[in-house]
Amino acid sequence: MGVFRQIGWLIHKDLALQFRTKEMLALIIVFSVVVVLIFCFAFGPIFPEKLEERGKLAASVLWGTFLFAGIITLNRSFDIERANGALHGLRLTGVDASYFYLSKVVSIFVFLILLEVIVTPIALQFLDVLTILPVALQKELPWLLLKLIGVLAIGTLGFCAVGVIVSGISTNTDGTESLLSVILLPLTFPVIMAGAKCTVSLLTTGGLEGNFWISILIVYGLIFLASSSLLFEFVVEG
Amino acid sequence: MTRTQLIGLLSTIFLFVAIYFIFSFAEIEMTMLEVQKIFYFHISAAITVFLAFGVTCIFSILYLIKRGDTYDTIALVSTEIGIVFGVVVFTTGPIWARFAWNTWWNWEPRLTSALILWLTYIGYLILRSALAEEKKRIYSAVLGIIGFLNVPIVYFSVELWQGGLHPGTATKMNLPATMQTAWLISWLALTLLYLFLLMFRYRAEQMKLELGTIQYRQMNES
Repeated sequence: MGVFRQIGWLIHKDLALQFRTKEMLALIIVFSVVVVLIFCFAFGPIFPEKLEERGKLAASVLWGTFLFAGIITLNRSFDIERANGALHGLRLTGVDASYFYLSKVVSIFVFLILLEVIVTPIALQFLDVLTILPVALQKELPWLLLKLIGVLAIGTLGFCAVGVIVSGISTNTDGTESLLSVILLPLTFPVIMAGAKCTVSLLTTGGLEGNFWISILIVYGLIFLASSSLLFEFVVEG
Repeated sequence: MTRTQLIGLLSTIFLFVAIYFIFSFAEIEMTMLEVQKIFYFHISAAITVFLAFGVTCIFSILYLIKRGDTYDTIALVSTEIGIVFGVVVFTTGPIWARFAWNTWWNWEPRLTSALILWLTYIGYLILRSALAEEKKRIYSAVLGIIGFLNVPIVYFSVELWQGGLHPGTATKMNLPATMQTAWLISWLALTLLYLFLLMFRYRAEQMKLELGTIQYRQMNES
């Protein structure tokens, strides 16, 4: 079987498992909305007047929410592989570890992007960001949202690249969930910094001021995709 | 005298020499006065933190390639020592920052990267304690590598994130000769101390393994 067909089937398997019961998606969406609401209640009902301040608030809410949602998704995804030795069964078919890694990254990425597409407009509305945007930006709102999702997507890819390998490791321990957070969060600090800066700049000016932050996001994603797909072999073997 | 003892003795001597140089030889800084003396051990400890975690990364790679338990043990003990030196950095850092910049914490790129790296490797130790014996070597080696890969990205992000040049960065480079000497000696002393602790802990870890083997053998015999 060709490389792409193998990866394709693995992704198909993961997505089928994730979407067969809608319960998981519903759970994560509700969780994310609740997290957004927590921020709203803590900061609201009158949000900062200045656009930049409100942009920063929106960026922290969005990235914080998706980080926590991402951790839950990762945990859940590896629980399935762990139960009944599914991972060992998969290994017996002779699938290369790096294909398995890439397919996991893609399937979790797809799931999180879907979540972000649904939750981002809700969060922006709750934080009342849309009404105070400059007129020029309000006119091309769909385009702005698309760019915002684009930035979130690049950041999410980096997060998945690290998250999959770390949860592959932590799924073998007892304190899985708390351990995953403790190990994964310090590794994702650059994503938060760069992603939040890009988000603020998009919300205030409609563009990315300089390409530095978006390059950091891309470089981070590439470095960890490459290194982790090489290292994942040891994780599966262990 | 064993090699470990020799290096232990050397590091003790150098630590005292460093203290002498710091307090008697190096001139007193104009604005911060005596408080500036923290700088010598603070910076040296920070360099040792990066050195220790760098060693962890290198020996993790070696472990994955060659699979010798020695490499894994060195990676482990280097992490432990790095975390201890991290504690030194994060206790002296705020005292320095309070007098230099009138705040207890400063988002200086090197300090921030050290903090993030420190947190990552605390995760490394927690992971090791949570894993079963046969698995923990490989997994922690993988984490040891990933954690260090993050360093350059974190450094550049923090540098830009906190908005450009840091006042301390420029002045540190052109120290007066007396301060330079004192700093070099304290750096050497802490590096020797790191080396001594590494060898000492390595020996202890090895003894632990040997003890385990002996106990196992006795259990089988009885």
